[in-house]
Amino acid sequence: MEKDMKLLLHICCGPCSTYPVQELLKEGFEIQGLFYNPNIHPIEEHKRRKENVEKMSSITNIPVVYNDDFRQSEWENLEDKGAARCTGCYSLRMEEAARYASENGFEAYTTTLLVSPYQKHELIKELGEFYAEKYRVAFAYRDFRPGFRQGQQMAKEMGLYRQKYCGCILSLNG
Amino acid sequence: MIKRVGMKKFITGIILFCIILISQNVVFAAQQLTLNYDNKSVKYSGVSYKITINDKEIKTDFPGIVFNKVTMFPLRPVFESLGGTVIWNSKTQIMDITYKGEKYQFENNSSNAKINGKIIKMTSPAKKINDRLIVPVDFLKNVKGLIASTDTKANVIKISTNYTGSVKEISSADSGEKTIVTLRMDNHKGYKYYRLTNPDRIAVEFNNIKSDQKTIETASAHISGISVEAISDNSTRVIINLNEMANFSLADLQDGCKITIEKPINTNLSYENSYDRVYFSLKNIRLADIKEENNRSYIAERYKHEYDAENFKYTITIDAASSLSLKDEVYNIDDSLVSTVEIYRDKETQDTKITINAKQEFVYLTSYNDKRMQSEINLLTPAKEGEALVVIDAGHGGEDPGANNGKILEKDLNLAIALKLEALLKKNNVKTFMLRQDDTFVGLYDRPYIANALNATLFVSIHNNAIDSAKTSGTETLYYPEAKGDPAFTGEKFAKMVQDALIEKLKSVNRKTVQRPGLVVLKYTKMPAILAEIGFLTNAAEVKNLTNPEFQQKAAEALNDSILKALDIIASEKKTEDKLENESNNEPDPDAEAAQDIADEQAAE
Repeated sequence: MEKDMKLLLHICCGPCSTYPVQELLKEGFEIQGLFYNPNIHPIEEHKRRKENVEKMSSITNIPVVYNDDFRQSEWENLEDKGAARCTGCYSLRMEEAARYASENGFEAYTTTLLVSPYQKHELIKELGEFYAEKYRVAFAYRDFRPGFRQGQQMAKEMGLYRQKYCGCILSLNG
Repeated sequence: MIKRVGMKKFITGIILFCIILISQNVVFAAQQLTLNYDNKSVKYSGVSYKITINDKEIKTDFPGIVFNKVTMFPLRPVFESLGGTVIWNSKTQIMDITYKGEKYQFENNSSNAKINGKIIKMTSPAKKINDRLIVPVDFLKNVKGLIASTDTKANVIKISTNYTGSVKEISSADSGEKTIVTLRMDNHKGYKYYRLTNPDRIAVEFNNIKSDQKTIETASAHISGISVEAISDNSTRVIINLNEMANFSLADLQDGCKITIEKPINTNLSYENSYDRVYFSLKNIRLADIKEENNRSYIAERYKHEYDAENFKYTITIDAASSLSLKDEVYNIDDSLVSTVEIYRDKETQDTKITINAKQEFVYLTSYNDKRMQSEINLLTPAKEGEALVVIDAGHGGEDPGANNGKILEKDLNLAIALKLEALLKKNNVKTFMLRQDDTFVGLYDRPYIANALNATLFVSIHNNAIDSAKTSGTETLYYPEAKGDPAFTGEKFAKMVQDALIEKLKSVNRKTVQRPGLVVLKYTKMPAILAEIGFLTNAAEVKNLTNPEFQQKAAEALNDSILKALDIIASEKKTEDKLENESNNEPDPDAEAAQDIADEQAAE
């Protein structure tokens, strides 16, 4: 019996996951999601996004592990200010995803962050590869951006909550 | 007139005939032997023996004779013909002969001969007759490397150096850190030696040696035993079982060889050459990573490499940080493929160079085996242009058993069918490459990468299925989906052929062909590839079938038949392609050229 390649998909939120999940299933991956977003502010928003990932998971049958770490204060104490904080934010996620993938026998990992045209796409790609190297697991880079609109439509049809800001306190206030 | 001429000829003929008869009598008379010895002359009326060495008559002024009822032969012409040296001392009346490193001594009128100083009693004394020292033929049985017999019908003394010899000595001894194995043979005609791996062994094959199967227990530092096996009626293989991968050197002996075995300095380097796959492995050194990009996978190398095609020399350079554990060493491999491996640290840069000195051309592929934490440098011989090569992938293996039903493991069933398929394809003169031929672990990515590097024509992966329902049974063939309307022969088309053939032969439940884009072996192989799931281990009836060699054979036959068909299709596709190419070459088509220009431009962008 031969098994499909196992891929760990870091999931930032329900709506962003719809299109990548559809594409990666087409490619034949056996997908598991990882919810790890420790600086979504405020905690009620963090909870809401998690619930919507659970909803997506039950609709699509994609198993997801949830890491409920909430590291808001740590995040607020980061020395980097402004846009440089994005590097810190992505790093938190990518490192945890790479580590988890490597330790749990995944062949590759990637993130739903790659679907958004509003994210710093190249930076995410760079960090993904950096942590892939560090944890000896392949980073399955995909440019999901062409499917962003389609994904949002899918989220609407699934009845998923679509947030209005990226996630951190700065993006909430900004 | 005609008649008279005829009569003249007839008479001339008769006269000639008589002359021949007379002259022959003269020859006979000359051969009449007179024996001069002990100051007397005796006419010899007995049989004169010709002497042959390996069925060729030797030149001698004195034949073999029967003297005092014993058949005797002259020493000098025989041993000189054999390539020995013969020295006669007229003062002492002693003859010294050296032949194949042994010393023989004979004394006129004495029955005592000496071999390397040791006295051997002869049936009759040596005798100086007509200035030739003669001894009994049966003495020759004491001479190393010879056998002799007397043919009393044809009157020939037959001496042969071509007889099949035997094992004289096999021993081992420790000397300091080294183990020395001594192999001595009686009358071997050359030998060759090579390594066998998994487990590590050194084999020495002697020609012209007959032996019985036996195992010699030894308790030396580096070896666990020596076994002897007959390869044929006149060749023997001695196998030295090594405790671990060891370095060795071999010295020639007159009658065999001496092998010195010692522990290598770099214990993390080992060599594998037991079948199709040949590779060096380096434990705990990571030389390559598997990268994935936009649905494409490749190996990212962590080293620099160069290839000296003229000398079959392949060198990789590893930076100082990743090669700390390697020390300078020259490693003797000395099998049919590789002479040595040199590990050398550059004193200035501290980089380490590993050079493989091969005996033939190879394509090198280095990968990292995650399960075994080792880098593997594969030595591959790709298929030539137009040559068909089928890579056979027996699924799972080693640490990865695949599915199971109690003690019945999928990996074993896969291998059994794979080996049967290999035999069938070989019978049909199809070149094959087994990714594994025994219970070893092969990295998942290595399977497609090796097939690609080999420039294989087809990739056939053999598996068996499992599911959590005991009722489910049947056969399915998996493939990577082709682009819509692809006219080429693809894995998808190949899968249909394989599936049809399997169902027809096995009469199993037809689970059809199944699209599986997520399987590494199907996704990353560049040639048409399929994965056959022959049956279900979780189904009682099927597991009974799968463990039955006859059923396995049927599965192999179905695979073989469809592979042969596929190869035909690929060959005819190739022919049509070549033909079209030739035609377009003959008549340059301006439209096609323009189209090509556009394509080139696009590719450049």
